[in-house]
Amino acid sequence: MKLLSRLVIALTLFSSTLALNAFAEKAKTTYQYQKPGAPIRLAEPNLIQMEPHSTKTVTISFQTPSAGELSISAKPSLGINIDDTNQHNFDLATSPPSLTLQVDSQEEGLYNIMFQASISENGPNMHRVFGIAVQVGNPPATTKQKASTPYVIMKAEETIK
Amino acid sequence: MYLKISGLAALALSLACCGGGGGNSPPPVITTTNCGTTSTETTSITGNITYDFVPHHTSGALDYGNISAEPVRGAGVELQYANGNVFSSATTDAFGRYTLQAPINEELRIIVKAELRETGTPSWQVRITDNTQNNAPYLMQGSVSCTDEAPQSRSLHASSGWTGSEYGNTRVAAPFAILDSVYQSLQLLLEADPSLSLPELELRWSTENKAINGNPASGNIDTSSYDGIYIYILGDEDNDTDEYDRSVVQHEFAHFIEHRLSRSDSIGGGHGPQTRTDMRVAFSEGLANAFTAIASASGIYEDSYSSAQSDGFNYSLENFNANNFGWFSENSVNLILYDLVDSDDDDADTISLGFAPIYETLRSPSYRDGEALTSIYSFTNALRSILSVSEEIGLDDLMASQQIFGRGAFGSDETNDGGVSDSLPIYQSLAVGSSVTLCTANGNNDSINFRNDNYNGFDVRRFASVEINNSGDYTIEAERAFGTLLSDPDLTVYQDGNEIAFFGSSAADSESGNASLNTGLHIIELHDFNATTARTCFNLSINTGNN
Repeated sequence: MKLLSRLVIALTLFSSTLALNAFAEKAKTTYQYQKPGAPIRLAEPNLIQMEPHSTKTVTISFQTPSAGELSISAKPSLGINIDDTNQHNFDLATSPPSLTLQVDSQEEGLYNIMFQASISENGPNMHRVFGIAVQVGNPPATTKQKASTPYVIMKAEETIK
Repeated sequence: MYLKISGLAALALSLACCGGGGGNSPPPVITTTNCGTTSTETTSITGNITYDFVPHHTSGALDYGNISAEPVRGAGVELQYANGNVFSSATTDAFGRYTLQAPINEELRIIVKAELRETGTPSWQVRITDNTQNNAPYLMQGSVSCTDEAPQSRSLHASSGWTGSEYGNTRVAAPFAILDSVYQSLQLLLEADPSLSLPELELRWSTENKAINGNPASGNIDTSSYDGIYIYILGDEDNDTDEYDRSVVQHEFAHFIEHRLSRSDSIGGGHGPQTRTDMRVAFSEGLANAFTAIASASGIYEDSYSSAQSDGFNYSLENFNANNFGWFSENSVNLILYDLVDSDDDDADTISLGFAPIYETLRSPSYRDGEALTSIYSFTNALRSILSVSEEIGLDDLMASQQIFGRGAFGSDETNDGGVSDSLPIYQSLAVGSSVTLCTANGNNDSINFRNDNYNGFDVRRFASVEINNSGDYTIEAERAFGTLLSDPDLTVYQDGNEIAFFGSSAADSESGNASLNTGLHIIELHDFNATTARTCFNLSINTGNN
């Protein structure tokens, strides 16, 4: 009976949510103009969150075409480690590709894992580099903006005669 | 290969050199400085401004063994006191040379801005900034040194910062390499339009710009892109840097040109020469690919990446075969556009128009204000009005070689359905008081598109055209006729490229809305936001009055 009550409540909440959302207006989705590259992207582009000095196993799935061959490798930024930086090959006709990685964190901060991918189909390989952010602990939400200066000043090599 | 740069274009920039002191000059008071006694007279400082350009291997990788010093062209140069006050300013010519007035026996430095600026006719203002440093513009500077009575030569060079196996030093050259790719693009535009008036543009680059989606202020720019306002360029060493990838910079610059000087209905998103995309995306991306191949006079598209930028790819705009032919293929579009411009005749290419007719068409009211959405059809339809009969035959041959057979701005009579019969006709005809059935899918059966892509795949969105004879209120509805349950159709209404209405509720299997429509032809876009692997069909209708 208790279980049934919970189910009814759950169904009621679910249907209420449906009703509330039934005519919710969506924002129109738009993307920027991007450079050409291999047709691959993260299936779930959410950041990886973990505690400092901890280990977490993550499975990262990729959206790809359903034909061709994918070669992909992962590379962590300084400050985190992963257990597998080898190149992996996938036949895309079988199933959506994914990599399971063990991530070791150290200090609190924002890091990333970058993927270098190459897809071969219909001619030369096409490539794309993309990545996922790794948040270790609770680093400040503020961006890395440095002190406001009117210019980014760089030193030139100069010859005076 | 055709692609001459006119003398006029070079002249337009070289004439800008040798600017005078202007209002920033201090009053001529004679005094004694660390350099000696000043004078009411002035002298001159001349010099060359250069940057390290890193070319590509044939593989597309960067070739650090063949770095060359190239002129910084069209950039702003200033003679500044140590406190930043400007004594005089000029613009480098097509060879990177400048001449500045200078006071005698004063301590000053030369600074070079990563900026192209021209006022009057033609005009432009292009700056390279750092999105991780409050969008501050880049500049390089020399040392504070004494001037003399005799003219001096002060030449500045921007180093790549490459120290053999990594960027061990500051990458001073990077912003100037990006700037030079834009300069090169301006030459092409000036050839076609000596009166060019370019809206302001900011290209944002940082060594921290990574291919991660997020906050650009942190360097997470997703990829090199144009977002409708700014161009963002990757700078992530050992992963993906684009400052020396002219193709990437000029590809994004072309999107800016298309957006601001012409018209683009592209919905953006991921793409490549082997993908089959929405026809608006295919045309926009194909145009951008062709633009860089023409502007750089390279005839190719190339992009480097990987550790030490030691890998990359390239393909020829002359003959790259992606086995992807049609109105939905950016590769077909870029091959056609490139062949229209270049002077090499080959296979189906018997036409050599140069770039000017392409630009003229992009700027023409018939293209910019046309009723049809932008595509290879709307472009070639507008282009035909300035072609001779023999040139039109040449265009027809090029389009046929890419299996594009539709004609007119709406691609009427197209027979290449890309393997998806629902894709034709490209525009279904809809009359007020009636309905039409439109079917969508999400590319799952399309091996070239993304698996489960429901954004810009060529089979995702469908179009209907409807003639409105009486202005007033209309009700537009889409209802699932058959196919997958829990679909989520959305509707967008356009007139002459302008979005009139968007109905995007999350109601399952139907969508409706009221819009006030003027007389004339309208385009209705149907998009199933929840498109699944299965084909889903909708009855689209339009009726007078409100629901």
